[in-house]
Amino acid sequence: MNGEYSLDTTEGMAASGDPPTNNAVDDYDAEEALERQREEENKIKIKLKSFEGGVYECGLTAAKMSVMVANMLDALQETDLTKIATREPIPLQNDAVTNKALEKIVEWVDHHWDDPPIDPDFDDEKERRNEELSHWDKQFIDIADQGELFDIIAAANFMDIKGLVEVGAKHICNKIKGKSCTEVREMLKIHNDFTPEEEAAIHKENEWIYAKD
Amino acid sequence: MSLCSGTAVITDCLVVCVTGECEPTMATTDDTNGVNNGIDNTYGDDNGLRSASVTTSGGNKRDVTTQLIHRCADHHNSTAIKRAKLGNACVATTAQLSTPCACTASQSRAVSSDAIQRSTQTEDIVCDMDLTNSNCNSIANNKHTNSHPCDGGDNGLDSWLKTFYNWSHNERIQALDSLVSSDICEVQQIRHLLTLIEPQLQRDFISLLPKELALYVLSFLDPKDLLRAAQTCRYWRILCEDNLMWRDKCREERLLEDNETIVDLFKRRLSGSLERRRSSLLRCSTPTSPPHSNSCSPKMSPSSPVSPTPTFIRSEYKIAFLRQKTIEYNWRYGVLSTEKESATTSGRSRLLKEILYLKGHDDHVITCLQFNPASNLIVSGSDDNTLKVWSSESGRCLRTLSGHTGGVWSSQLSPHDIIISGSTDRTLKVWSALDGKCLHTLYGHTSTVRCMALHEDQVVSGSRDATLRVWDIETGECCHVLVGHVAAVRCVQFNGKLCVSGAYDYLVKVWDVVSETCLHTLEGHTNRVYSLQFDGQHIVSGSLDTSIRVWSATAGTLKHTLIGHQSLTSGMQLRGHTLVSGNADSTVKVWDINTGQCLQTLSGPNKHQSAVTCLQFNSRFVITSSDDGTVKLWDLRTGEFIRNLVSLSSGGSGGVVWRIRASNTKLVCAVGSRNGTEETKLLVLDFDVVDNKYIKYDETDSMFDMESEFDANRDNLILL
Repeated sequence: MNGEYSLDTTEGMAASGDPPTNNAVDDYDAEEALERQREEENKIKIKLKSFEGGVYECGLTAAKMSVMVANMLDALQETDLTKIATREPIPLQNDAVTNKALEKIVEWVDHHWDDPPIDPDFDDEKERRNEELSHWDKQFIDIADQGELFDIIAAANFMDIKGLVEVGAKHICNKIKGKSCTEVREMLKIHNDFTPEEEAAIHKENEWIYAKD
Repeated sequence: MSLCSGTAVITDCLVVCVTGECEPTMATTDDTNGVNNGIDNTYGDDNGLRSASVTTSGGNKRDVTTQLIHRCADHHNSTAIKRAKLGNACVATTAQLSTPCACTASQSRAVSSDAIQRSTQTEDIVCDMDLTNSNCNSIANNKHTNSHPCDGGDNGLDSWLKTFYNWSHNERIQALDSLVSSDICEVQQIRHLLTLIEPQLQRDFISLLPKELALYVLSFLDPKDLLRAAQTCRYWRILCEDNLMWRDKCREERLLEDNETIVDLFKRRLSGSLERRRSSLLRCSTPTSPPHSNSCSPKMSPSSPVSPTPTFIRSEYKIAFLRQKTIEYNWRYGVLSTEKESATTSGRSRLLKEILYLKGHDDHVITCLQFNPASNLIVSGSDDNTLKVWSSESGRCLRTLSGHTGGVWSSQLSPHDIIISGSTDRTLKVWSALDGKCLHTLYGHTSTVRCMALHEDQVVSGSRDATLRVWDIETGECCHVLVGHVAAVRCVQFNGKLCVSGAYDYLVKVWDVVSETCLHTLEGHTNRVYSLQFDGQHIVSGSLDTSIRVWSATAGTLKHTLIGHQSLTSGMQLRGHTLVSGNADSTVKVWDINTGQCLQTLSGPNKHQSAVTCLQFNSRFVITSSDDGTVKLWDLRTGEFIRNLVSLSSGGSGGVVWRIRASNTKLVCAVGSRNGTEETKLLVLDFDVVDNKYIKYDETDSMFDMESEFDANRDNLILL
């Protein structure tokens, strides 16, 4: 990762016409300093409180992956970050944030806090959508209890943790993909509320999907 | 009676345990306290069940807790609960043995006002309330009408259950543990138990999640899976119709990049007749209420009166997407009328509109062909000295443009249906396609007008007299003359400012039209230049020397020489950085002009048998015509042969395809022969959607009530 950063900065520098070495080193140092700061901050543990009252500890940088938590922390305007650790637990006031869900969410952010940021200018949205989940995420999200899975996704959405919502969304879609609607209904216990005529009409409308490309 | 006397008994017991048949005292109790006790006891059952599930499935889920409470209540008080206006979502199913009725877990979840009530305590309270509110009489009724578990019991099951019921929580867990983990139950029975428990853990995420989140989840599906998902249930169908989501799908399929495609797909909207729709397009499918607060919970009764359902609004982008898919499907597989016989055998084939045969120009050659898909006009020019204007819809010849005293060898058709023709009689003529009037005759060239390029009101003509002339088609004046070539000008391109010409002097010249100066002379070809493409930056020239050269228009330098063809490159098309070239060597090649690489060669066992005469391509397909009497369809990306769109029976014995023009939905071919084997004519193939019948079921059902606006237009922006 560091190698990439230094490469990027070298290019940017060349464009601006500045002498290469010093600038690259400076930028590199800035990157590294930021990394280190994030690392240090993550050693500060803050407490998050679930809707059910359970309190869970989480690294500060990791917790900030939740945009909601980050905003709440910002609102505190605390300059001495270490004091945050001694504060009351941050309450998460949404019934999706159960003990179990919060426990899993903390596990996820603790694993992902040092991920490189998602590139907002990602070229091809389609490509990003089709990108496979990492092995760790797959194992993490493969939860048999769909109620729990539901809570995690809803809670991650509430806490505004984009990466985790995406993991959940991809997981659900992976389960739906390639399945017939009967299989999907069975899997998610969905009642088929179409009349046979309606079903036939939709089927006809979507006829092309049964043709091979 | 022994517990292990029969597998059926054990299975029944398990069923009873799981479905909540565990509290006989509750049914006999008429007061609320008793009911509450019943609930408390139910709790115990549930914990016991959890334990059982832990043992069987290896990981149980707290859902069971919440669900069982309702189920127990429902079981004994279904009538009462119904009266307490909570039961309308319950469909009672008769449980085994004496159990009168039991709601499934998700039904009971629907009972609670919010489908995502998840807190055990909350549900407990809801349940408590239900029962308190419920009519004591009906509980009493239940007592009389329902057979009590303890009453019957011809095989000891009931007393077994009663024993279980009287146990404490810990005892129950122990009992279930031993039941499942000991050898008493066979695997088969444990599996049965699992099937009873497992469904309780399933959730319809899509319906339960907030709408925006559900849409986000669905956006990860590709269009096919999205359409399949739409067939799951009504609420999913509403979500899967989200217009913005489909706009993204259209964009991903690059349908919004190609002007012609967009015009084709959004004809109605672009025509501006439906302003109202345009504004509604922005916020096309907002439901009237959040998904989780109403009937959308996974297991509601179909007949239950529901709170306002989110409305189903057709996504215009989805319609466009599907329509385009159908058109593509038609190009690939649609059955042309000549193949009707074979069509009837394969069930799913689509029968296309009849091929139109437009006969004219006698036995003369059609030298040039133009098609304006927007106005449905076709213009054919011939060496019989005339041009003909045809309707691509009816196939009728609308006008015959007579006046030239020599063969017509080049033509242009403006978006406003003005025709410019060039002839061996050394003149150009400007015509109105609509009334067939000749507006101007342009004199100046001293030999055959062989090529021309139109840009807005200006047309550049290239002639055998080695000059180019720039004309104003409004006034008929000759604005500029470009002199410099030393042999016949064969091809020309013009973007309003710069003009590029290729000639028989082996040169390509770049001209600044206004100053009439030659900016660059591109030297390199070692034989006549026959074809040109120009996008403002790149110039691509095809020559009899077999090479294709890519030049920079601004610098006037050679960028690439594309080697591979073995003969004259007669036709080319450039789109972005993709170039497709048709060659007299009977092959077609796809190139990347940025790298100079040949990406594909369209050949193989189904290749053309003779020189390629004309070609056209879009983001998916390449269409090529040949002297062998066929028009072939290829896959641009893979280079695979797809099929023959036209195959003249006279092919090989004289029948040739001279020219083709295609739109998103139509293919126009000029065919004939020089030896009389094939009559000169135009063929119009239509790949548009023909089957515009869709079914209206219920006037009140918006889901299937296709907007009448679509009805009104015979010309259709239709579904399939």
